[in-house]
Amino acid sequence: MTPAHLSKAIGNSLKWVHKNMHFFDPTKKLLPEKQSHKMFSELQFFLSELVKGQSFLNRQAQDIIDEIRSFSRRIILSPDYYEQLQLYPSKFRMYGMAAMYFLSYWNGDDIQTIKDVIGRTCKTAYSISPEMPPFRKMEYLYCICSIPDIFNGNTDIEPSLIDEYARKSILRSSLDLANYTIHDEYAMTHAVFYLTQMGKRKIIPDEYPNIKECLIILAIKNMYEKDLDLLGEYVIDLCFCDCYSNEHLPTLIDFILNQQRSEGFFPRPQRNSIVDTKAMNHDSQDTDSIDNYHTTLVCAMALTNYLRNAFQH
Amino acid sequence: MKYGEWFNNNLSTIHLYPYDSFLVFNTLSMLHIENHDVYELKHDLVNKIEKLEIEDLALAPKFQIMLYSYLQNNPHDKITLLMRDWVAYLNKTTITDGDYSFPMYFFQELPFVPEKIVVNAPSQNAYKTFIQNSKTLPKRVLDYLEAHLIYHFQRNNFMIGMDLLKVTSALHIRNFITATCINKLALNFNVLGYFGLYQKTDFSETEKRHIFYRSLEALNILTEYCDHYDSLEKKVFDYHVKQ
Repeated sequence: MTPAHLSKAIGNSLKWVHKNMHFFDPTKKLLPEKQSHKMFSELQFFLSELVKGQSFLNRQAQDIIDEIRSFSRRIILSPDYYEQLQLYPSKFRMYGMAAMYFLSYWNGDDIQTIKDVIGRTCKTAYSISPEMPPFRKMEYLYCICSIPDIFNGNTDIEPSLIDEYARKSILRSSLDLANYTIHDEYAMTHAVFYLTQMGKRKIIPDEYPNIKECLIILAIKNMYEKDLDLLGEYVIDLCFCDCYSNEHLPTLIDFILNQQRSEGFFPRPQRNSIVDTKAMNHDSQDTDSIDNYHTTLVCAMALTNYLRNAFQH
Repeated sequence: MKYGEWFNNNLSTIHLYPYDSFLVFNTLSMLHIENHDVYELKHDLVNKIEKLEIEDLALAPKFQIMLYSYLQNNPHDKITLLMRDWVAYLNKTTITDGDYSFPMYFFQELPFVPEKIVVNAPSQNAYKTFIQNSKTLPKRVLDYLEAHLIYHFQRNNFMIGMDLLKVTSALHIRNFITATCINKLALNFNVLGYFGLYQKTDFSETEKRHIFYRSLEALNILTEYCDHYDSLEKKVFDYHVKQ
């Protein structure tokens, strides 16, 4: 496994995403509303991470990233999209999070409108969703705090609140791994994303004992299960926790690389299909695209994070 | 005690092979149940064991025989003979991945272990040295072992999980990983007094026997982990080395 291998694998996954880009457009209404917005939101999260490693990729991959960014800009800045944030503050998680991840990577001057919409809406959206699990609150707070113009206008929202919710999250639980469900594992991976602020902050071992050990054991366990979705998220977590010297990480990365299909996607784990594509009269090729997009985005992020940092350690 | 009730109510109907006496006697002893019925039962079991021939002993799990003689502190002649040979086998100067001495053979089942596990010890007590010092195993192998534990316990594969817990106990691994597995094992004891949740309460004779063994295995594991100082296996092994 070399930087060239990693770069090629990431490039192939980007080509696959680019080829299936139309499914990520919620304004096209090709899929049910919730599904299409989820895909678009995850694409923005993906881009916000991938742009950090863009310089490690070849010219073709960089061009694809730029195209997907422009595609995203067109959607975010259309009134058809952004007016939904004000109309439906309870759907902020669907519409607003995508916009906030977009703002974290877009450098243009044409984004004041969307900033104003988010600035006006996010406080209401945050306070009308008290039942969100702690890791979702952490995500919310992380996104708001990472956009200075919006954050500075909301004195009720402080970065320290992320720590407050982290202490109520699964990270401070009894770590009852033998009883964990898939949802518990997702709660773990996501809580680490936002506690570390996507790798910018270190986890203090005394405050969160055994967390790194947990991440390693669960990553290996998901390798046995061939669950690339969770495995990819644990690899991202290990990168964010600065575990590049951990002896398991190369094995985990090699395993991920070996699972990539020739078309460029990473196959979803063998659980239920994400959406009933038969009901929407999609053919099997569309089903493959819709079913495998999430795992492909996650694995590409894992490989990018590793590529950015591992070879400097 | 609920476990005692279930065993008492069913012991007379479950067909036990002669060598099962070791497992039942050992479990009752380790649970420290002091009542007249259990005393009588243990006395009967000792009588059965005394009458066993070498052919029957050879069929019994070696560790259970060793544990019996350790608990009795008065090993029977036939047992002593059998155990002497087995202890000598365990005391070889090297243990390689080709060996199947307990608990080493469990490592052969672990995928993704990148190298063969070879232990070279300068003295006679290679096995004892190996077990005493879990640091001889690379940490990554212990990580694989713990990942297997979580994998099997999440899937409710309790028999494999219990075998893996015997390995971790022998290696003196007691951490939050073993704790979560032990907690799940304890959680799966039926409120009616046996191990397992089967969504029914009427069992065939074959099913009762299966439940009987699962329950005793699970009780043994829980008792093992209640001992905070030395693993049961180490104590038993040390006892036999001194004989």
